[in-house]
Amino acid sequence: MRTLPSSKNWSARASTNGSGKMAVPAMVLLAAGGLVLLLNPGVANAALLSGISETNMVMFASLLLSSACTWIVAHKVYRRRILARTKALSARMADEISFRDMAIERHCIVAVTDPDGRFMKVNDKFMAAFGYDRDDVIGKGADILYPDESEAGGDAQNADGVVQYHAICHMIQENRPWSGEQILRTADGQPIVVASTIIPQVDDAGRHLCTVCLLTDITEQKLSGVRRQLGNVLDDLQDEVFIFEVDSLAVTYMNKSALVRFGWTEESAKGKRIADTDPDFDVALFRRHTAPLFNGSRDFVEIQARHGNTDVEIVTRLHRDASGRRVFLSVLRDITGRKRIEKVKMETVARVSHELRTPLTSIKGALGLLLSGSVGDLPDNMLHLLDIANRNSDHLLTMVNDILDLERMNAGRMTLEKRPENLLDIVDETRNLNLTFREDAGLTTRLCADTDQYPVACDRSRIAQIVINLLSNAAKFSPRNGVIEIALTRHDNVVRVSVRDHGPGIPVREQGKLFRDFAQVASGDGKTRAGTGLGLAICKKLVTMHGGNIGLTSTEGKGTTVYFELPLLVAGRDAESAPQPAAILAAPDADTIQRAG
Amino acid sequence: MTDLKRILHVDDDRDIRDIAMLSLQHVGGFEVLQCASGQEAMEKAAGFDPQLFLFDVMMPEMSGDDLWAEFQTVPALSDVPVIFMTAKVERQYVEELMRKGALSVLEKPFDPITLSEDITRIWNEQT
Repeated sequence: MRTLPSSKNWSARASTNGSGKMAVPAMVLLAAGGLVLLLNPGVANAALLSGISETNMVMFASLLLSSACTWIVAHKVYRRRILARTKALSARMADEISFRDMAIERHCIVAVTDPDGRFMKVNDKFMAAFGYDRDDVIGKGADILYPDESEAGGDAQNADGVVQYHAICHMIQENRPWSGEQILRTADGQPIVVASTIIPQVDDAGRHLCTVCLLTDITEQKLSGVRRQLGNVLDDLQDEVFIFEVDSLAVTYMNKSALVRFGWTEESAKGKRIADTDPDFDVALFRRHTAPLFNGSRDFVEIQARHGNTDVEIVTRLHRDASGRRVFLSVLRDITGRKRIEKVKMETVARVSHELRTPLTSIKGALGLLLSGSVGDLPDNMLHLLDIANRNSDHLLTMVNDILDLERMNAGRMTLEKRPENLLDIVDETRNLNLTFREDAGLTTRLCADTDQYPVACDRSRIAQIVINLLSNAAKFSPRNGVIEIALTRHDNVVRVSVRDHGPGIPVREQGKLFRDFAQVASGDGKTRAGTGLGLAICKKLVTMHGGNIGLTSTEGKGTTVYFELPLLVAGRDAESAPQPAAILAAPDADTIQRAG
Repeated sequence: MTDLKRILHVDDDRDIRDIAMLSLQHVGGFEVLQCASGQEAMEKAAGFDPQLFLFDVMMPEMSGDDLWAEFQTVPALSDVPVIFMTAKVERQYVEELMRKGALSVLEKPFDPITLSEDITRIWNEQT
C-alpha cells in the first residue's frame, strides 16, 4: 500500500498529459485488484467457495499485478520521452525567437513609438543610421526624421516627404500597417533613403499600444543605381570626363571618350596621374591655374589647349566624391570645329579692322591738325566738338587694335620680346600716363607695394597694355572722384598685381564670362559698360603667354579686384639678368605711393 | 649729316596724302613731292632729287617695298633711304621690312603733329 501515495502523486502529475489520463488509474486499479486477491484471505476464501481453484486465482492475481506493473513502467518511459521532446521543442522555439530578434536587431533599424508617435525605444542601428544619441530621440516625435513643412516650400522632394508622413500617420491611426520607401533626414539634415515597414501593435480590445518601425538603409543601393546610370550617361558623352585626386593628381575615373582617346582601358588607366594625359603637362602651372578654386574666388577654371591636332577646352572644378573627399573634376571638350569657325570669323574681322585703319588715319590726322591749331585758330565750341570726335576716333582705334591683337594671339602669330624688368617700374610708369579716362572721372590711383623689386621677364609694352586695360576697366566701374587701388605683393616666387575699384561689383554668375572673347557682362548695378569685351580676354592671353595667371574677386556693392600674377626671376639663377633698382617711385604727383617691407 | 629737306611721299589714299602734306610741309617745313602710285613716283623721282622716300606699303599694282626695290636699281636714287608707313603692324611684317633695309616703319594712323619730328629724329639717328 506504500506505493499508492507515490502512484497517486505521479498520477496527479501525469494527469496533465491527456494521453495517460485514463490509462494510469486503470493500471493502478488492476494492480490493487491483484494485490487484494493475493493478500486478502477473505477474498481468496470467497473465490474458493465460488468454485475457482486456488491455483487459478493466484495465476489470475499475478497476471493482474504483472500487467499493471508493465503498464506503469511503459507509461513512465513514454512520459519521459514526451517531456524531453517538449523541452527540446521549447528550447528550439526560444532559440528561433532569440535569433529572429538578433537578426532584426543586427540588420534592421528598429524604432518603437507610442500611440502619439513619440519614440519609446530605438536600437543601435537607428542611432548609427540617423546620427542621434538614444537620449536625443526618446520621447521625441518621429516627425524629427521627416523634412520640416516650412522647408518643403519650393523643394519637390521635401514636399513629397511631408505628404508621405501625413499618409503614414493616417494609416497608423486606423491600425493598418504601412510599407514602402522613404527619404528621411539624419540628425545633420542629410537625406537617407530607407525601406520601411511600420506596424501598429494593438491589444485584444483593439487599442493601439505602440508602433514598431522596421527600416533598412538603402541609400547606398539607390546611389549605386544612380551612379551606374550616371556612369552610362557619362560614357555616352562626347566630352571627356576626368576625376582625379587633389593632392596626388591620381586619376580615379575616366569616361569612355577619355579612355578611347588615350587607348586605355579601365584597368590600364588605374594608377595613372593626370599628368600622364599630356607629355607637356606642367604641374606647377596647373596648381596656379586651379588655385582660385581653393580660395573660393572661382567656381570653375577653364583653359584652352592644343592636344595633337585637336583644340580643346578644359573646364575644371572641385567636386566631393561619395566619401566626401574633394577631387578635381575636369571636362575636356573638343573645340576644333568651333575654333575653325572662330578663326574664319577673326580673319574676316581682322581684315575689316585692318581696312579701318586707313580711313582712321585720315580722320585722326585731320582732327589732330585742326585741334593743334596748325591750320588756324578755331572757336572754343568748335574745338569742343572736334575733341569729342577725336576721343571717339581714339576709342575706335583701340577697338581695331584689340581685334587685331586678339586675332594675332588666336592665330599664334603674336610674339613677345621678353626682357628682365622691374614690374614695379612698368606699373608705376603706366599709372602716371596721361590717361584721359582717369582725368575725366576725377579718379585717383593709389599704389602700394610690399617691396621695391619685382624682377620679371616680360614684354614691357604688353605688360603696360595689361595694366592700362585693368585701370581702364576700374575707371569705368568707379564712382566719380573715386580711388583705384593698385597693389604689388610677393607670394613665394610669384608677384601679384591687383587693381581694385570701389564700384558696384560683378555678380558671381557673370564673373566666369569676363575673360572670354567679346564678353559683355552686367555689373552689380545691372548696367553694361561700353567696350568691345576684348580687353580682359587679351589680358588673359598676354598673361598666359608670360606664364602667369589672371583672376578676380568681386563683391556686389563693394567693388572688384582684378589681379594678374607673373613668375619672379629667381635670385641667383637669374641674378645677372635681373634689373637694377629704379628710382621712379620718387616721381611726385597727386597720387599716394605707399611702400612697406 | 646734311639736314633733311626733300621728301618723296607715295600713298594711294588721297586723304592721307593731304594730311601728310599738311603735316610735313606746314608743320615740319619740308619740301614734299607726293605721288599716288609707284609708277608715278618712278616717273617723277629723278627730277625731284629726294633725300628720303616715305612710302605706303600696301598699294595696288606696286607695293611700297617693291617700289623701293625698283629705285635701288636706279643709280642716282639707290642710296636714298626709305621710311615705310603701314596699317599692317604685325611685328614679323615690320621686322621683314627692316631686314630689307628700311630706316624705320611708322604705324598708321600716324600723329600729324609729331610726324615731322619723328622723321627728323629717325633721319638724324641713321649712321
